[in-house]
Amino acid sequence: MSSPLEKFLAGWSFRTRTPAYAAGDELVAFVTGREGDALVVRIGDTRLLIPEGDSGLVDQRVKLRVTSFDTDAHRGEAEVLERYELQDDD
Amino acid sequence: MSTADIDEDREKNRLRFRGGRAASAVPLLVFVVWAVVQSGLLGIGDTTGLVAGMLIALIIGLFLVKGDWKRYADAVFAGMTRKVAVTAVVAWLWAGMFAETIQVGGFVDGLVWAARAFEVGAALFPAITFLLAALLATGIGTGYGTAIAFTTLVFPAGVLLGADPVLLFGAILSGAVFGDNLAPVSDTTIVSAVTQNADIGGVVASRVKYAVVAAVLAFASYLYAGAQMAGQPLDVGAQLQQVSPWGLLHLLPIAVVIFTAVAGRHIIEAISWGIVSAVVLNLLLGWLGLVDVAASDMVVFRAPETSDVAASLAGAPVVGAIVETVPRGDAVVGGSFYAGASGFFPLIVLTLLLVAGVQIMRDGGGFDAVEDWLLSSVATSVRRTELTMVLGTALVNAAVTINTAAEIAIAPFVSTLGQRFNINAYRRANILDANTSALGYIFPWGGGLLAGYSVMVSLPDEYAWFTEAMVVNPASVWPYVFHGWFLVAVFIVAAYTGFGREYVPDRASEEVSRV
Repeated sequence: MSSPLEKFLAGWSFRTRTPAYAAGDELVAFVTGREGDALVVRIGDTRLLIPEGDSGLVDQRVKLRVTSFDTDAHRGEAEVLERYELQDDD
Repeated sequence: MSTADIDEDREKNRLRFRGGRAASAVPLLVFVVWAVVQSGLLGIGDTTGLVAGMLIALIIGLFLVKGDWKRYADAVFAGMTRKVAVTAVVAWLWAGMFAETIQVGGFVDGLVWAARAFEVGAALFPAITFLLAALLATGIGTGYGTAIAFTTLVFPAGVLLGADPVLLFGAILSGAVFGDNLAPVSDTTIVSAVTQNADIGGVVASRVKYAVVAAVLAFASYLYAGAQMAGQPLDVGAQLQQVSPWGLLHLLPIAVVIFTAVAGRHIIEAISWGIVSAVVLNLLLGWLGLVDVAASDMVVFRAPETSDVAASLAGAPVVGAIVETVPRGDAVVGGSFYAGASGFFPLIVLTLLLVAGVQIMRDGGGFDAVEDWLLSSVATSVRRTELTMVLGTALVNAAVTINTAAEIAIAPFVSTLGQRFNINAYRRANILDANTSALGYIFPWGGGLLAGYSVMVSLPDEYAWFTEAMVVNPASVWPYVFHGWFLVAVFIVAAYTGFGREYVPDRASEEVSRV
């Protein structure tokens, strides 16, 4: 949990439409759809693909590890480390 | 389970309607039409009237169901028992008790005193009124209540000073928008947080940046317009009723709620601490004779005088402070706890029915249809998605007068669209609430504006010097609700530039466990 002051100060910036990641980064995000056999995690206009992912994960929150990332194309690949509990109100 | 299996499963369990997936939207559409006719065309801002409209809408939808009607009934129950509805209901009950308790403690009087004590003159009065109305609305969470209190008590003082009535009314409504948007005890704040699965304290903290930018611009605009539009003071020798400044101490319980909520305590705990401190403060102020408030203003049993038990308790020490005897027909429980909670009853029932309507649209596939269309043709990039969320919310709220109802109806779309781009729950809640709060107070059919207007029309009866010509035409105020307009503008700019944007991986909201 962040401190109250940090909560007031968070987000006072202009955030890019295409956040960049690096191989090895671990992050929590929603799986947002499918592209062929792969799952897609779309973060803004950046896309991370999870090859041969379980379709049941679409719209679920997961912990990911980025395995590769192309900063010019704003695309990368990732693997699922952990799946979080089902959302009550998604 | 494979993709095909999941799709097949969903298809099999789908609630089917004559007229296809679109027909599942009929209950909500009937409700929206009812709401526009009732509040927009006929000018009736009665929440219980909307309850009747939603009930009729749910019955009409039933006749369109193909096959077993039980599926439809199941969807109604499934919607009503969703956590989002129940959480909002519980938070509202607590917020209502808190708001009413600081009001019986003279908080409004304190602000009225401050407005007059500044003796700022006609040019500065609208800007100061905006700030004080914003403070009241942030404390009590209800913009409608703020519009009513300030129109009754502060508006006449400003008109006497020579402030322009239309500008002054706009400043009061702007303050109402500010608090409706920012207060942790505001009904729209609560809905915005729970529908986006975020904690209320975190939502409030994250929304300060947008509210402050808009408020600074609005304050500057009131300073400028106030100077341009100021008239001469009225020389009528009028006296306004004296008020006590001590109610201003209720800024303390308000601070307690905001800081405990932002510090991560559950909203029920945060507001409970606020209630406890407000009760202690009220008892102290009443005991010292600084504010006309007593224990019976918070809880009172008005028992029939024919009851011997009541008569003896009313005369007893301590307990007697909250027991009164009244004629048999007037027996009732009263006080700020009672009034604060019961004030939310119509909205609670309406909310439960509305989420049932949303569930029917979800189970019937109408929701997916709209979502597919939005995602394939409108919301194709994160910038366009955020603009869609801003403008869609603004549009629905401009059309439906009771802004909390409009917010509940649009919330699932904001949630799903935002999640498809991993837009953080705080950001989604902020987009949803800012445009909900702003648009409810701008147009002549807006609930907040109507609330203020309804008491303004009685001012000529109250003050001999207040002429009919000073009553503001509701249709003339819209350009002057500066904070509302700036709030919408800030979000359009924020969606375009990425100001304040946060993604899900950037920061986890404290989610369901800490509402």
